[in-house]
Amino acid sequence: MNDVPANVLEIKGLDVVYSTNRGDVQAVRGINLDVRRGEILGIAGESGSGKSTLAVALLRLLKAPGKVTGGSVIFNPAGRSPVDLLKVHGEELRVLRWSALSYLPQGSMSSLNPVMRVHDQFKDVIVEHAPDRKEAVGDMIPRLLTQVGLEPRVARMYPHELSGGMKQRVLMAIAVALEPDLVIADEPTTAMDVTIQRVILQSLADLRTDFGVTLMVISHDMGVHAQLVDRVAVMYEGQLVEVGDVRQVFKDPQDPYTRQLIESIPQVGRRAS
Amino acid sequence: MPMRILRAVLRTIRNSRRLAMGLVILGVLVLVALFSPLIAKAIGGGQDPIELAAYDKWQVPGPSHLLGTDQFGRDVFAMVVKALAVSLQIGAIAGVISTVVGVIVAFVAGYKGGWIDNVLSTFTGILLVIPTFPLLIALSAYAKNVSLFQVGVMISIFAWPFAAKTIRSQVLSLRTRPYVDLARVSKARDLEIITTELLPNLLPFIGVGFASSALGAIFGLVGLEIIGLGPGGVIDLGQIIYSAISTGALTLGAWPMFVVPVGLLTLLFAALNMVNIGLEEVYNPRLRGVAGE
Amino acid sequence: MTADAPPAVAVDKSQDSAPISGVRAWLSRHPLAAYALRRFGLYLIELWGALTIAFFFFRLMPGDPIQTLIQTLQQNYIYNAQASAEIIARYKHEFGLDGNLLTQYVVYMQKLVLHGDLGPSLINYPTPAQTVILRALPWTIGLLGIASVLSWVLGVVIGAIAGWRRGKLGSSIATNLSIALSHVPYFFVALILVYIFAYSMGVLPARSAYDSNINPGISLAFIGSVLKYGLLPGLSIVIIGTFSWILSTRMLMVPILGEDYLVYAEAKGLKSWRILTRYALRNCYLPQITAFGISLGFIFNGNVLVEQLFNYPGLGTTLVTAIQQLDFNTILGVTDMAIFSVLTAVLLLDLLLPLLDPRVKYWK
Repeated sequence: MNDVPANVLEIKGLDVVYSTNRGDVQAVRGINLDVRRGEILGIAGESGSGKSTLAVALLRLLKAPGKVTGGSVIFNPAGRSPVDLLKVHGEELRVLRWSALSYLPQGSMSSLNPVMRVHDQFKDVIVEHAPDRKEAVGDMIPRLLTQVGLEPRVARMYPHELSGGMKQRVLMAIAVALEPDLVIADEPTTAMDVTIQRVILQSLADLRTDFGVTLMVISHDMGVHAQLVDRVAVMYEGQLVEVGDVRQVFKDPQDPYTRQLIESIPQVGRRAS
Repeated sequence: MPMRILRAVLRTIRNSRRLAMGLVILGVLVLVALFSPLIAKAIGGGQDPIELAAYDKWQVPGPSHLLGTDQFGRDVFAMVVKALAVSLQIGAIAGVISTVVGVIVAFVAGYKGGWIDNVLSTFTGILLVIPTFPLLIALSAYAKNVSLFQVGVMISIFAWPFAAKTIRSQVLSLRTRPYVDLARVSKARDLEIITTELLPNLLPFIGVGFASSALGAIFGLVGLEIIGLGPGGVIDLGQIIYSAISTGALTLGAWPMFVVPVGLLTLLFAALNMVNIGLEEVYNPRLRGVAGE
Repeated sequence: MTADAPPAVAVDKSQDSAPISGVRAWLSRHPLAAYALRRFGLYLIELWGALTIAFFFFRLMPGDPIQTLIQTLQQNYIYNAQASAEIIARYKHEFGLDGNLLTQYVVYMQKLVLHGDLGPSLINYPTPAQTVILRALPWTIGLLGIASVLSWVLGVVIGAIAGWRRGKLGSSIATNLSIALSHVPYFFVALILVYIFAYSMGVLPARSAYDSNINPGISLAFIGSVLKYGLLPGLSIVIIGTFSWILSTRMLMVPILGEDYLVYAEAKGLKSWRILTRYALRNCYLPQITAFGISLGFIFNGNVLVEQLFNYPGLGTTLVTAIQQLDFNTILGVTDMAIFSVLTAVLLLDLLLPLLDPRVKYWK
């Protein structure tokens, strides 16, 4: 395992454009960013700063009128050869999804299929990507659910029977089911009340220790970054204005925009751990 | 107010090619129907071409009779033109009646809400779900010497629930819009709100209600005629198709008696359907995607 | 609980309300049963309402066939006044025409509900109308049942694929064809099909339900003949039915394709076919089941004309024949039968839905 590259993801000069009938809007401008193996990297910025577009582009879920117009994203999954995420297509991309690159959407969104039991929403991803583990599914799902702090009986429930916090945990458990190299979490605590937010953040931190995944956490909330991440990257108008160790950034922000963001937190976040 | 409505109509037509095309075809058909007495006169050259035994029967299409003659020696071309006028009139009468009834029911139910809405909606719902055609056939079969207008009324009895349903759902969605609330706060009278705020916005849906009930009425009557149970005394396009079938006209070389009315009905259907879809497209963006841009 | 103590009245009272509140509590614990009960109650009301409308409609109709019949009877027996009064009274009694309209209604409903008796058929006297109707019913159920289910399945599947692959050539062809054809009356297609296949090409039969040279029974020849004769009437319904289901399914699909769970399914790296069937189709076929129930009455209406055009021995043809021959009990009977079948089918679908769709709420 010594020759596993230190960076899971190397983003170079990424440009994303939305074409509208009033001309093109550049949502992501020339971003350069490395994601180190095993870290939790936060992406901060106000809404419209391009952080969600970045996530969607990395996950290759960008839909028209959005378009990647330049750059490369080298992905180094353990045990596989490096690929440029922007250049893989079809079957190659499909195989990469979830087993290497997985996604944790916002729990308040309706990302779970309303007419499928939780169990089946685990199962389809396992059957698709790891057919050899099909027999183990029965043990795997309760174990995963327990690990994110849910009772195994949740597996038999439908999404509409779950609360927002429970849905977020289910999504977390599905995200790490195949022990991917990288999980991209998009606003994992938005639209949740404060107590649940705390618990979710703790579970996210646990994911790294339990499953050894690398996490990229997108959030507009500087408090989340203060409590959870190792390094934080701040985006403003599609550009990276600052990247650095989270304590360093909070203690001594280099960019005036970062300072503003930090000052906008009612109580400057204390580290949770 | 009339200006507002007129402008809304023009804007709607400009926005949809399908709608414009449907209206053009419909316009041509209506023109032909309007001029049907003149056309008949021109064909007859002084005498009535659709009088019984005006000519020799079962003549094949030729220069003197473009579409031949039928079993009674009537000129098929003149008959078809007259029948088209009848079919269109039935559509117009039944369309207007069902739309007016539908609009009233929809407004009372949708705007007033509460138990009135419950009762009216349940009643409309039952009429929509149960097969009402047997009732219409019986009514039509036992109606003797009825006028065109009465036939229109008869068919509207069965067509209004469709118009009411379309319009009611729109009233419901419009009723909660902010500008209606605003109007309600500033002016108190329901009638004023309905005519100035709701009606102009509902126009396309009223148009859809009219086009579909007219379509339903025309084809409903054709259906009755084709099984030989049409009301007596009304010769529409269905009646000609019926006599083509029942006399075996096809085997006698009188194919126009079948093909021409069927073709005209297809054209009429296409036109009204285009008006329908065009109107819905303009105001229902979900459908615009469906129509394939 | 036979309390003999003085406060018996009070005890009785509490016992009286106890079962009711007990039932209430039980129902609130079993929402599915409560839903089924409420739905069944609504069904009974609808059924009663529709049958009542049908009864009074036919009895109050101008050119009432019953009046015509009575006049004919009176004319037939005009030379024997006494016999005529007796005979007319007897006929009136047998055909359920005794007393005023309200009495007739009560008697009719009683016979219908308690004995399933629709009164004697006039043209097949003394055969009861229900026998005539039950003879025709299998043909209609066979033709209409197969045709409507087939067009639903075809339409929902093709419509879902058309929505899934929108922008592609095949999808826009299917969509535009559906826009053009979805509201065309069945009989109109029937006319054109007959013209092409039966008249011009002469390859398919255009009348009857089977070859009259073959004895009806469970034999390969007979079944083959039934299929061959059913092809054109069936196709008339299937073609148009399929196109209208394509249109409405595609309309349902478009918003579903933008849903978060579809994006998530794509991120999961599932195969497209699996996303289409397990995610997209699963969410759009459920509302179409309800729509199917609602459309049945409409389909029956169209079917009446198709049957008559093909001289198919089902309910539609029975109805038209009855109308032509003033057989009023059969006319009303067929209408009642159609109302009953449609409302029952809608009820069954509504009761089935909670088992298929976990989201259906059992309470209002």
